[in-house]
Amino acid sequence: MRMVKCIAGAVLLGCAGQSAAEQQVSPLADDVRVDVDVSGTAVEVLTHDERTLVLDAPDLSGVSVDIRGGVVAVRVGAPAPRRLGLTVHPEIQLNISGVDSAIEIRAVRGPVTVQNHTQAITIEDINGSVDATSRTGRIRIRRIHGNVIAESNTNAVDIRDVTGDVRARSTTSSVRLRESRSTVVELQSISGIVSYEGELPRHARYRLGTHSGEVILHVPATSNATILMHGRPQAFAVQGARIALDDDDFGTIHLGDGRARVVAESVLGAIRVSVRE
Amino acid sequence: MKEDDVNRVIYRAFPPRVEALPTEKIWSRIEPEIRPEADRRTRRAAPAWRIATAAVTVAAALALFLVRPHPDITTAREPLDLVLHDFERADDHTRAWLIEHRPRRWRLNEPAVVALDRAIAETRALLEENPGDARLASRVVMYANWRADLLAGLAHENG
Repeated sequence: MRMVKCIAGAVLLGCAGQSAAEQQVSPLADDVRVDVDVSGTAVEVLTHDERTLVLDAPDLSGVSVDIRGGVVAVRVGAPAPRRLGLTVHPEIQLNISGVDSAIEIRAVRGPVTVQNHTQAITIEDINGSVDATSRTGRIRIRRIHGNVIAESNTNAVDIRDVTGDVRARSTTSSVRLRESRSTVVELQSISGIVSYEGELPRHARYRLGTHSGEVILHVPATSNATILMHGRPQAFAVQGARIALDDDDFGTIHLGDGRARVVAESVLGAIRVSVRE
Repeated sequence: MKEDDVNRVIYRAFPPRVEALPTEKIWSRIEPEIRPEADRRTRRAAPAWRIATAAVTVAAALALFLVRPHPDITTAREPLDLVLHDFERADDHTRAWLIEHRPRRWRLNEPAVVALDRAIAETRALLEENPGDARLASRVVMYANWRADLLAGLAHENG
């Protein structure tokens, strides 16, 4: 029974070149089991009481480390393995960082913080908050029961099915959110497309902004929302609803009782709103 | 042979008509007398010149060896001139090397920083046309903060 719990959370890091991966596990009542499956590298396991266990072997395949409670840090030094798989207790606090490490995290019940430089980050089925940052890697986040913060400087951020608040931005690429049940959403880009597609919760406060990219909004006609469009009126494109323009070049769309509020802003780009039946 | 000596040779060879003769003719007459001495002067000067040249060459080679770019970077440009384009084209090993060695100035060439600088400039221009637009003013502040965050993150990545 204990083993079943242990493998419920899985973390996979595909590493190339110099990389470092660090995992932290919060103190737990239950035992924590960390299975390390690597080859051709040194793995250092530090326990919370500063006892150090160093595993250094040409081939560490199949080596497993059992740690009871405490904080667990696993650091992978150079030369990095091509792939490091950690199977951990699902109720953990994950803090993972890498350089050229593709990072995948699935089925974890706890807060997740991930940072890397160049490769993709994939996070799915998390019951807790998510904070993901990549400089040039693509970020893909799915099915999160908690708040999400995601940022990639030069690659896309794609988020779907989130219940908590969402703050996401990409400087030069797109930011896309679908099927969110979030109350507060802020999506920003400088030169990329910013888009939301899905229902608008009754008390939603959404802000979608870009400087020179487009803002794209697809919402159902049954929504109860006020959509404010800030930008160049000649670049407003609305389907399925009526837009009212005021003297300050703001466009407004009223749907239902208008309780939810969405601000769509593009300084130089287009704003496209599609209201579907 | 000193310059006065050369002039003396010329005067001896062509005392009255030296200025009237063509240059080639003057040279052909004085060359046999001057050349050996000139050659000796060249030979005497050569070792010092060659030692200096060799020293500079060795120093340059040593400097290039010590700060040599990664062999995967085939361009002859200095690392300072590397831009993110090189980074994105590079293989994984080269990327890791670039992350470790890239200079401070390179950060300002990153597309995200460039995009933010452009956005700040464009929004400021719009703000000058519409001085009372608080929305544009807040955007400039937001972009500036965003840029500061970005540079702070890049600095952190590079230790």
